[in-house]
Amino acid sequence: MYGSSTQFRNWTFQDEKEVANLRTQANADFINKFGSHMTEEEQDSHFLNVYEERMMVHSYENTLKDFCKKFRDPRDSRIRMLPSVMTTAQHYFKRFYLYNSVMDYHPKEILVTCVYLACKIEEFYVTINDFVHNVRGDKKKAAEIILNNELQLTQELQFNLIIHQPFRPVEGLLIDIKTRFQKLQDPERLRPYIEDFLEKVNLTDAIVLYSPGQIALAAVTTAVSRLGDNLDQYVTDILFPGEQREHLAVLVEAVRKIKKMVKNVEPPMSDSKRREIESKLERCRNQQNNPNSSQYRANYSEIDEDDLPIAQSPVHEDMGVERLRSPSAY
Amino acid sequence: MTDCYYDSSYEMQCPACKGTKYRNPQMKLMVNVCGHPLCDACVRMYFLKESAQCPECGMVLKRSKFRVQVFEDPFVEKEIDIRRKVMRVYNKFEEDFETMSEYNDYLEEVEQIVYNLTNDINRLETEKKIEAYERLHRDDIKKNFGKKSKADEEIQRQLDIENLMSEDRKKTSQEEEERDKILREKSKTSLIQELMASEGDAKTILEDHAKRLEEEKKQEHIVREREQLAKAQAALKAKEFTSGVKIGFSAMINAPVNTVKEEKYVYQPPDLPFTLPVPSWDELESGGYLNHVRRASPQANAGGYTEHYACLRALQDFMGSHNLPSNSVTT
Repeated sequence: MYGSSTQFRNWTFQDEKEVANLRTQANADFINKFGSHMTEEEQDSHFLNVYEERMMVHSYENTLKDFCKKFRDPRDSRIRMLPSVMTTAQHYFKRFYLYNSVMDYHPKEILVTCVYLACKIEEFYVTINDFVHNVRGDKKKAAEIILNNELQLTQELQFNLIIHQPFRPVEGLLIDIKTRFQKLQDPERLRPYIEDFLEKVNLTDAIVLYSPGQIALAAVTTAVSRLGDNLDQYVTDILFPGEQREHLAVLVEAVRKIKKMVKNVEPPMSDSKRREIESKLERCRNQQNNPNSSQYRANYSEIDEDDLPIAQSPVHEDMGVERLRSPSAY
Repeated sequence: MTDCYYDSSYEMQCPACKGTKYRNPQMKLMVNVCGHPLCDACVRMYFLKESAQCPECGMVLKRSKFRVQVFEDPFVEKEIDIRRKVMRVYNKFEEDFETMSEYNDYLEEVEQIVYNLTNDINRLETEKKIEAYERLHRDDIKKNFGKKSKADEEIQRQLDIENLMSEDRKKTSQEEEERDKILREKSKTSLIQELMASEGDAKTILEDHAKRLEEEKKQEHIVREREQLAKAQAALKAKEFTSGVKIGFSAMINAPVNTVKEEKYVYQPPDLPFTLPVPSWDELESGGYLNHVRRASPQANAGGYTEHYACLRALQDFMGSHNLPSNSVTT
């Protein structure tokens, strides 16, 4: 039930302003943490601003889409990634950067982690080795980064991992249309347009503002109008009979906004612009989370040693009475 | 196959003379208050006089305090010793405290002391603490010395009841046996007499006799059942009415159970957002919704699945996820 889900309670926001505020907050928090010693001009030139961060996330959302589409299981190249995995990954990615700055965690690392986690949640089975086969560059390092980030990601998602996707609502709507609105000729021909819409809507903020049912309705009405038909009669007369008319306005408004967002979805930024921001990001990012930095290495080697205290400590022959601490000492 | 001959107790070794159970099956390990084991031969040798030093830690020990090590780990033995000593001083019961949390604090303190002493943490301080406590609570300690807690008493009482009951059972079964014996004897003699006296066919007499025996048995069975019923009723009555010490506490037979009073759970339906009307299960068929979903295979039907589930779920997912305000719910 969407109504009792964590998606509804924690991850569906009132309006675009609230979402924008969260992003500004994440950006400001990072700058305050790492740039408190600089003047304002220095901060501006050193750190990414909210807009640049937004552009980065957006361009990586496109990358995520391409990555999922190109994804092949190395053991059987006929196996493609399901659209549900992509949708879930997009949700995770978007949610993560609502509360985190791009400068803190590089999107290219979070991207693959999101997809890997989504594969698990959506029961699309791939091992980590098969997964990194699809990643360019050093496979071993990629696997390490993904596994290191995975727990961090789930924590940032507040462990709310179930995503209510618009696919089943679309099926429900189509069943209802076929049953109660037979005026519409052959609703099956809508499918390619619906799929296209549902792919695009993941690139917008609509998925953290509106419910899957609203997105489904927007997708179907868009597909219908693309075919030169319209569903107005169905929505006003059949979906909202009589006394429920008051809700109609809310839904229509939501659908209109979703459509607008999808229509205005920005194309990914140009390569030169992207390279420019990337190089700036490379300078100002949090080095503790950069796998290429010495700080990161140092941190991780420490943790590795802590992980294996039993194997490394010599076996104590005597039942070391002195070594035992009283329970209150802990 | 060597496992068959292996006994882990062979590993037991006296730390002083290095003798093992394997070489000397009669060997016994003994422990004293310090918790260091010694074999009985070593004890005899070291403790020619009444007291001597422990060869491990140098503590002065008395020979009479040595006892056979029961647990494999001498550490446990040491703890038991210390616990016994501490408990002699800290001998309060739950009834002596006003609240549960006070009692818990007290228990924790005791455990802390025992732990510290066994592991040699702050030994001096802890011993001082015990002494101070002893001085402060001398009267209480004396009063509680040798007193049994309520729970102990209860257990003792239950044991008494069980003993009584088992004796009772033994008595009745003995009586029954005796009665059986007499009966058998009687029937045997009657049969012989009949065979001697009557002139009829021996076979029919035997058959008659067998029949009669069976009837008698049946009757006896009925009588016995009646007796048992009466007994049970008597017991029930006794439980209900008498206030005598031995029978009247049947209501208290169970050891005291702390009942925690808590609010009962009351179901509250979740406050769900408004949903558009969804057809009911039966309407799926009559309304024609099912014509637009894939029919379930016979195998799936056999497993209890019907296409209704998928259809209804899809419809509910659409109708129920519009994020509409719930305050104006109609119906």
